[in-house]
Amino acid sequence: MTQHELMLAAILLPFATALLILVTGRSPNLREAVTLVGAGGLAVIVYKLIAGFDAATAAPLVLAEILPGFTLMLRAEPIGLVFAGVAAGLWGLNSLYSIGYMREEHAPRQTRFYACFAVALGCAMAIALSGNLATLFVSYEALTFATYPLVVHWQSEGAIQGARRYLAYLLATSLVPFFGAIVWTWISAGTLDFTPGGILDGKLDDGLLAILLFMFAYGVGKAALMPLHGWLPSAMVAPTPVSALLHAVAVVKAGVFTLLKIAVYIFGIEVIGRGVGDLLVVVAAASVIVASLMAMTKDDLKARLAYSTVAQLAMVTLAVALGEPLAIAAGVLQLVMHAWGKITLFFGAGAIQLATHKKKLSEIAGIGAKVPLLMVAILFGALSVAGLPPFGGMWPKLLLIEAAVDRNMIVLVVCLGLSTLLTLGYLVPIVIQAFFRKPHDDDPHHLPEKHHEDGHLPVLALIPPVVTAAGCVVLFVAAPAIIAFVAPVIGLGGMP
Amino acid sequence: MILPDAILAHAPVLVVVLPLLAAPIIALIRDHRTAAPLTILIALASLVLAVELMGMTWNGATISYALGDWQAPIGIEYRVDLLAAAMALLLTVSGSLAALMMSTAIAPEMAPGDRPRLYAALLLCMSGLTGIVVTGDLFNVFVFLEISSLATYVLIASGSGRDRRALTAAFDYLILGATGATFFVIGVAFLYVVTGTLNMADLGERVSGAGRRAVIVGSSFLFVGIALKAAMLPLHRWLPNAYAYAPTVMATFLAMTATKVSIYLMIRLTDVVFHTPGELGRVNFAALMPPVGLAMLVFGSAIAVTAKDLKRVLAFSSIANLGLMLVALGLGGVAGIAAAMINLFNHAIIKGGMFATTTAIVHRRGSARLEAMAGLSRQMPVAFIFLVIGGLALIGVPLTAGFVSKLSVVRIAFDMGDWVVAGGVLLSSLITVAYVWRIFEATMLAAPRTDAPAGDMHPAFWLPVGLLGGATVVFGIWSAPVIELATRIAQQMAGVTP
Repeated sequence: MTQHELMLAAILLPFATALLILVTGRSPNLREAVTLVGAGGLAVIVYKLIAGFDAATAAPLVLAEILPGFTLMLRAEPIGLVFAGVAAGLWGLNSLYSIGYMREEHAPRQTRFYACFAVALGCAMAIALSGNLATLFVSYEALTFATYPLVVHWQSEGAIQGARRYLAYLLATSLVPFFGAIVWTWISAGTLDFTPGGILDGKLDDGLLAILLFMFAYGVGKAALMPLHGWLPSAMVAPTPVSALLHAVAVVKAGVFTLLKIAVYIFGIEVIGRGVGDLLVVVAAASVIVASLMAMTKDDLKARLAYSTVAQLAMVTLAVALGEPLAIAAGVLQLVMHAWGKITLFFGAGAIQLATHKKKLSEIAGIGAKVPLLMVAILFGALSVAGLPPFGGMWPKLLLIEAAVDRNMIVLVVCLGLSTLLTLGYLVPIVIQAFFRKPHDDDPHHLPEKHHEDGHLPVLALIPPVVTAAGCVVLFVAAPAIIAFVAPVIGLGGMP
Repeated sequence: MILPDAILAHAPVLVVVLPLLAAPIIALIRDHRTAAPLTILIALASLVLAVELMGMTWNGATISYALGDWQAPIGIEYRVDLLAAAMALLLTVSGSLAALMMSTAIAPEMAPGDRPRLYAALLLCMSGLTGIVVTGDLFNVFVFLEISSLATYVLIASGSGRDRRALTAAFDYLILGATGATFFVIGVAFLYVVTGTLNMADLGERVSGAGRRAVIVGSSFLFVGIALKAAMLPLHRWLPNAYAYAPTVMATFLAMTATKVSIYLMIRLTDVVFHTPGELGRVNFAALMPPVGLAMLVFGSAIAVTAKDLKRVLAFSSIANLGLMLVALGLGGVAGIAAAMINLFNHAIIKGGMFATTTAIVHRRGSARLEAMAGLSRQMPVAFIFLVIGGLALIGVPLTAGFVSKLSVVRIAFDMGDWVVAGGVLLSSLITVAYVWRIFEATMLAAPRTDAPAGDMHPAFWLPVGLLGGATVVFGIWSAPVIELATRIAQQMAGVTP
């Protein structure tokens, strides 16, 4: 298949999968088989796209023209392919986990669940392969609507409220500042095409560019930059597999991916680096620290992970705001590494809930003996997210610190160091609590055991976190290859 | 061209006269089973004539037709340009779609013997509105305005079979509509005294030489009359009740056409009678439009959030969308008129689709209250999907016609550096999200009704709902036809040769 056909296939296959899921809804086994085959097929297609990528032959593919000059267009480029690879690669694992989790929970409306999941992946692929800001915006909005039924899945009062917040935040940001910034860019630059080096240099003066950058940074609500992060903890009302793939990978990563694309292809890295992004550096760094501190106060495991995600996403925003090729490389790596690390942690949190019916940090003391393999996987994920070797998460932290040193931002270096400590501080206790505390160690007047003490951990919910934890180690080795893949478009000579 | 030349030559007048003459005949037919197909036939015939008119005017030609061979300025001139033809097409399409649905939709709420008279009123209304857009004579506009208004009162009042409040709604509109018409005719009188002509083209030439003050007074009266018919804030009072209590199928027709014709009159009169586009004489009504339009956007959407009845939600949403058209018109120039026309056509399609879907739902469930919608997503999945399409289009989600509408206005606002309008339009879409989501939550998340009648939409609604819903999506992706039409109209109106 040619590159154009592969791109179309990557977007259409998930939608076709969704249709088939709806058709086969009456037979759960067949339905799940469809999901797995679709996920496998998508992984193969994206692999072919990446393996066959050649910058010289990457031509745009125009699909439709909504208004004169506002076209839907696809074009493969390295950063997008990295994002596509992450999302497509994790869909299959996540589907396995979903099967284990949703069946164990006897969840209702599973056909809708799997269908919306597939649609969300299709939207993520369209975001990854979009050739201009118009296409990206269209797919970005579609992703919001496709994930709404997933967030509201349990349809309890709490789920409806949470989903409302989810929608309110994401639409309020995308319909006002994001859309406004896009039209402003369109009017100023006369185009919306992603062009290496950017399209805005010289079209607006730097003060206005800084405002525009802020409109984008807050308009892309999926990047969850504080104080517009509130939707992410709210979205935790979703079933855990949704939190895992969408709110650690597809949705939030679509947000920071959008920011990376805007930095590289709309503003131009150098334009941001000459001072346009400086204020955003401060906001993003503050977001990293504040979100980490807030994560420490959360007892609910998923809420803790959600705030951790806010902090880790802010690092990508920070990378964007620094305006250095090295920082952008760090941003791209963070997109990959955090996805694998955080999905491990979400898988883990869901598996703990299945195995012990416990959702809170204070309740899980002593469960390590029951699910040792799971807790080791969680430890791997935690260390990777914190940025320690030998896990993939080390690379983005290291490169970010290097970029900060290059820009002589010593305070920022301190901030980044501090954030690693904070991350360890809010993630490692999960493992300590599970292995080294006895139940009720810190509960002087503990209540008699609740009745549902023993849950069951299906093997399908255990394998995925173990695989992704191993992946974190593999990525430690694979990171240079990823950097080499994106280096040409961000103007990086090679591995620093 | 499928019609013989002998008919084509008279198409401008036939498109009005055919339904006008057919209406009393249909009213006299006793059997509704004969009356309904005949109404559909007449509406479709008018539609064919409108299509022919479109074909004749597409390349910028203007058809002038002297009624009874009395040449203007003594006789009445029918003058069809692309704007008039496109409006006639919209009116006849709306009339035909309503006619196709009406006999099924009205069956549960109206005695068989009364139905032919309702059908006649629909044709009369369509004929009157079409007359407004094809005539070149200002007094003739007034006459057709009255014809369409009288028919509209009947259409609204006939909702009394389901809810007696339809009668007060109709009476409200009767009083306000008559007031508006009076303002209109006083304005016409002033202009006639000053210029000595009623032909709009002649008026345009003479008005610049006439006494200024009388022109301003006349145009002000005229404007208020039109503003009332356009439900321009604060003269909007009649609209929500009229839409909510009219039989839903007739509300579909009204939502697609009634206020749109007033927007047409604004465009027509700013250009033909008063020359400078966007200005009515020295009193600059164009400057009034963006703030009033923005107020309507916010006000209409905000009230829609609190409404408890789907038809009311849609009615207030219409006020908001009319606001958007006024904003576009107020921005002025070729681009402004084009954006207003894009909004006009797209909104007719979107809102028509939503009202048609509502008609199907009310037909099945007997109520348009939001709480009666519980479980719709499972019990009437097809209707639910079309509600979702329409709702997303109202928000202005990409890949729907609503996005094209919104983008065209925001783009001009940014282009002109009008940040207030740009920001206002963007922010108002958030309120839209709120009321659209109330519809979705009511239909999707509320516990299903156990007493709900089984079955999805009645087949009679498939064509109208599918056509309008399909067009909402198609024109959101492939917007070229609408944009080309709107641009051609705007260029012709502003006297710009492409």
